[in-house]
Amino acid sequence: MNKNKKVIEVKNLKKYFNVGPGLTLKAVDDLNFYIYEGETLGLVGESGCGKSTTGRTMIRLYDATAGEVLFEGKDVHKMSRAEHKDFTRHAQMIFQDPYASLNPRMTVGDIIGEGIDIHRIMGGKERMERIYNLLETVGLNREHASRFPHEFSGGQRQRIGIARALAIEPKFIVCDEPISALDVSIQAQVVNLLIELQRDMKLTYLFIAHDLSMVKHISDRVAVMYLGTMVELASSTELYDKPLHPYTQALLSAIPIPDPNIERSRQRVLLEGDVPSPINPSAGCRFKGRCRYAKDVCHQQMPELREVGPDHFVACHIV
Amino acid sequence: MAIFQPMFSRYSYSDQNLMLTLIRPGVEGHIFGTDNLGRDLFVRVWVGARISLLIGITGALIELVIGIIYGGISGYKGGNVDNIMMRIVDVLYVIPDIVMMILLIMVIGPGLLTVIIVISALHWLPMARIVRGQILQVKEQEFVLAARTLGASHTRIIARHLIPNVIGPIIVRLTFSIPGAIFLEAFLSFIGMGVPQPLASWGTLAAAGQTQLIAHPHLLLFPSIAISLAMLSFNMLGDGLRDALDPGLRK
Ligand SMILES: Nc1ncnc2c1ncn2[C@@H]1O[C@H](COP(=O)(O)OP(=O)(O)OP(=O)(O)O)[C@@H](O)[C@H]1O
Ligand SMILES: [Mg+2]
Repeated sequence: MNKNKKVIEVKNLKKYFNVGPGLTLKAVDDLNFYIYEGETLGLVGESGCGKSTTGRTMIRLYDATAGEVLFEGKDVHKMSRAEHKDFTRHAQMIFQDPYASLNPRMTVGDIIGEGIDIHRIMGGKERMERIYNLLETVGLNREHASRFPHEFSGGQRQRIGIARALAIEPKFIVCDEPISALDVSIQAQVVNLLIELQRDMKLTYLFIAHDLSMVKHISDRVAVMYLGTMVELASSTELYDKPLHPYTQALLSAIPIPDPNIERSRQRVLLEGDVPSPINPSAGCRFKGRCRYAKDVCHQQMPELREVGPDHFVACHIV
Repeated sequence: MAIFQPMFSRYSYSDQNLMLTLIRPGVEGHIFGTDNLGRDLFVRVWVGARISLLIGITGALIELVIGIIYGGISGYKGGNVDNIMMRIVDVLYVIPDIVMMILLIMVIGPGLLTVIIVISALHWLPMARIVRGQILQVKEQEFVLAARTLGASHTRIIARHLIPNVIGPIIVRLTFSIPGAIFLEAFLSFIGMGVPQPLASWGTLAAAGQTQLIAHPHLLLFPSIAISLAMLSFNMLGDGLRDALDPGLRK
């Protein structure tokens, strides 16, 4: 990890969806963070809190409602057509659903080679050679190039998706829950593959997940999201040892500890109530309704993300 | 075969022989018999195939082109463009078919071309809806997002990702609409707005035969068999095409 260079920086990023007359769904509401070169930033939160939307807006699959995303200093959302095409060579995404993320009508070779074709990087024999190499890199073999996606298992499909993203040698990859659709036994293999690739190719990751255990293993720092806002951001060891936000504490206490003595004696922080709707949210902290410490100020004012320790940020009035 | 028909038989589709009206099939070299004007039914069924298939296939092609372009733009653009375009379809949809047919025929006057126009005018509506629904469904799939992430152009996304994945249901719909068009033409002929005499289509033949059903059933039987066989083969063709286009079923 190179702490002198931020590959991507998100400033006051907002993404609202219009879901009906007078109804605004605030999927992402004012996010600020950056990722260093070669770093993995974990992004966790419950289903529907806006993780995918954040990742997709960062690579301009969605247009931002407000704010900016700086990739090597340039705003992704203000790029010209040519600049944007160049950006697509450097930023890639690995998708959540291995069954929906591969075109069923294309061969695996063509799927992996699509980026090479679009950017006219190479052709003919050289291209095929590259595709074979990529297949081997992700743990498949070259005979697979002429097959169709339906012949593969979920884990293999995810590897094909990884090969597709790697084909154009990107710098930054958004991994959108790449393992949550896979069997537990295969999850670790895919995560280890991603870690290996990062080391070999000096990749920068935004690693999205909804549970904290796998994220800790792969991430340098972890950001916790709740209903479109970021509630806590710290190095992964710091976050696991000293969670400050009540929501992070609750999330962490949901992970079982593999030691029966500690597991029995520790106290669980249970969350009460359901996740509120992100449509037209009321003023104040988004977490107030489910927080046991909520005070008056929490109902009036949205807490800002502030630094409470070295590289440890939290958005809470109580802390 | 429908194209080469005239070479097969010594009779022509418009030759009348009033001596030999309404004879039974198999007599005097008239394999299917003759009609009330002594015209050879076998030859007329073959000629009818020409008109009916011409109407069915051109109707379906026009429907396909308009449906794909209109539905495709609507689905791909989404948002307000989609809203407006689909409201127009809705409005056209609620006009009863028969009113639309009569209006169009009054405006352009009866004839072969009019029949094709009427059929396309009615059939492109459901086609546009199907295409739009399919495109809407597919364009949000992650593999399309993946292509966009790789910097694919609109043309590439449409040609390589959307069309191959929506073509199945479209073909199924087409195999229904060709026989549908043949039927609709028969109906138009029946109410006197179809192709004019002495041109024959399966529809006009069946309509004519229907009036003499009790005495001379062969007049209805042969055109009906022709219609049924055509429908069956189009359905089988559709199934075959769909399977061939789906790598999941291809061996
Ligand atoms: N295209 C869209 N139109 C309208 N609302 C949307 C759209 N995409 C996402 N949303 C809404 O935005 C919110 C955040 O969705 P998002 O997919 O980012 O969640 P997520 O954190 O990735 O969840 P998961 O863990 O289930 O993938 C959800 O309430 C969702 O319903
Ligand atoms: Mg998601």
